[in-house]
Amino acid sequence: MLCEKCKKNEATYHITKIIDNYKQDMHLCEKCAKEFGEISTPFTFQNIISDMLGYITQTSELERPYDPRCSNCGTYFSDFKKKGFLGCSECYHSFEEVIDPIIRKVQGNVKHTGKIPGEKIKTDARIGELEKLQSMLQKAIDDEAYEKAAVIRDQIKELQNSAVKGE
Amino acid sequence: MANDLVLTSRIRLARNLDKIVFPHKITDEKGKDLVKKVEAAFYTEGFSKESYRTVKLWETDRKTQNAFFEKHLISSNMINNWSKAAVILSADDKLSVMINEEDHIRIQCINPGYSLEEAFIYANEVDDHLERMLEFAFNEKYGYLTACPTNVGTGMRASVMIHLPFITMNSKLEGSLYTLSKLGMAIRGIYGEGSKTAGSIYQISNQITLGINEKETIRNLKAVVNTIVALENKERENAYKNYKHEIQDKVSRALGTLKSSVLMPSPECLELLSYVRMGVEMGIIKSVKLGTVDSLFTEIQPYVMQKAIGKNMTKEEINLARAKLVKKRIRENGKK
Repeated sequence: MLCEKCKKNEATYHITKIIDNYKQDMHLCEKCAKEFGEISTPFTFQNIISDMLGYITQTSELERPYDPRCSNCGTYFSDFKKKGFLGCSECYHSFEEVIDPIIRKVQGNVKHTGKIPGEKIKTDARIGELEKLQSMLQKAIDDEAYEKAAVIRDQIKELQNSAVKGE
Repeated sequence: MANDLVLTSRIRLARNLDKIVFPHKITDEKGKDLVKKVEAAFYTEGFSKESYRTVKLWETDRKTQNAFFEKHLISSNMINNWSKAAVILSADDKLSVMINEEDHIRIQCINPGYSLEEAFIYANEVDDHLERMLEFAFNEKYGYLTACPTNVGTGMRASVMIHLPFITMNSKLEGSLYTLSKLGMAIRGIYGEGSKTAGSIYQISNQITLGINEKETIRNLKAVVNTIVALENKERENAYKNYKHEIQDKVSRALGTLKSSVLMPSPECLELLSYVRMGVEMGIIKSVKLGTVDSLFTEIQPYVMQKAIGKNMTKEEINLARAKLVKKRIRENGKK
């Protein structure tokens, strides 16, 4: 059968339209069918699958609009929402945008004001350094090396000031 | 008076190792490696194997684990993680460092009486000691990072175990609950989250851990405890004015029953011990020390008893042994 529009090519599309109970049959070649807008893309399996996938992705995106994943431990933010536990310390960084409001809600605050690791170590090191400088100062005074003593005295002052500032 | 009503003071610090997956996600193998790592950091200068011991939960049976739980040395969370969890304990059981609980490390110090500061000094010292060797997960903004965001910041939970018989009797607690939560505090049963109250003993603890430092947390908790103690005392005074003889009768009978019973079930025992404690607190009973009553609260727990006796027992055998133990302890009254 030839295409009823161009009358040149073989009609490969047999379209039946029912409009207002009126049945209309059309026999067209591929070129004419596309031209007259009777088909947009051929109905192939690939198209059906990709359409389905698109639909699935769309719905899952609706359920999980934004679900970041921690690069260190692989935990999804949705896992945290389900269990209430983060996967590792890096999750706080990976989920920062979404977890900040949660922390604010739970804690009523988002700024740590308590202990800082290493404080004790720093203090111990400072005391050790101070004791060393003080004995050096005493030795310099005993040796009547007053210029050297003045330098050491300034170093002691600096160290004490840094302790006050909490550096 | 707060000194008498508070049985124990507890400080718990939650710490995690940087970038290592939290206990709920860690494999048994990696979890056990972490135990080794924490042990290596712990048993150094000043913290010797003579004064401290490690108990690996995967090497113990369920009864031993339950006995540790009843003594408050480990949490129920730790029992769930038994295949990878361990605890380092001091000889006097004051300090317990739980490994692979909800967080990698939970340093807990339980001190007798109303002594939160002392408990904090000890726990903080252990924290300083551990951080020399371990890199803790910390962030300038959120402080110490924990598996659950409810613990970030100081990672500190301060709590007291407190005896409130008159508040319980007069059902005054419900009213205080709302106020407590507004102040960032919580009140729970004797075995923590979700547990029931027994013997009118409660645990009051801070809930907020971020934006408040350790000293402020302790100060706020003490303010709340002092207020609750004042309320309890007011209830006591009023009750004593109106029902002096009834109260005297109740506490004396309780002591009499404990001194003479043959079979003593656990719920009844806790209730009677609570009355006796009340009698001691109010000066009605002078022959028993608070310490005797307080250690009995733990000693009469079923798994603690079976561990102490060293065999599995039926319910009746436990009740028989419990009655005996209570009589013995009251007779000794702290003098062994």
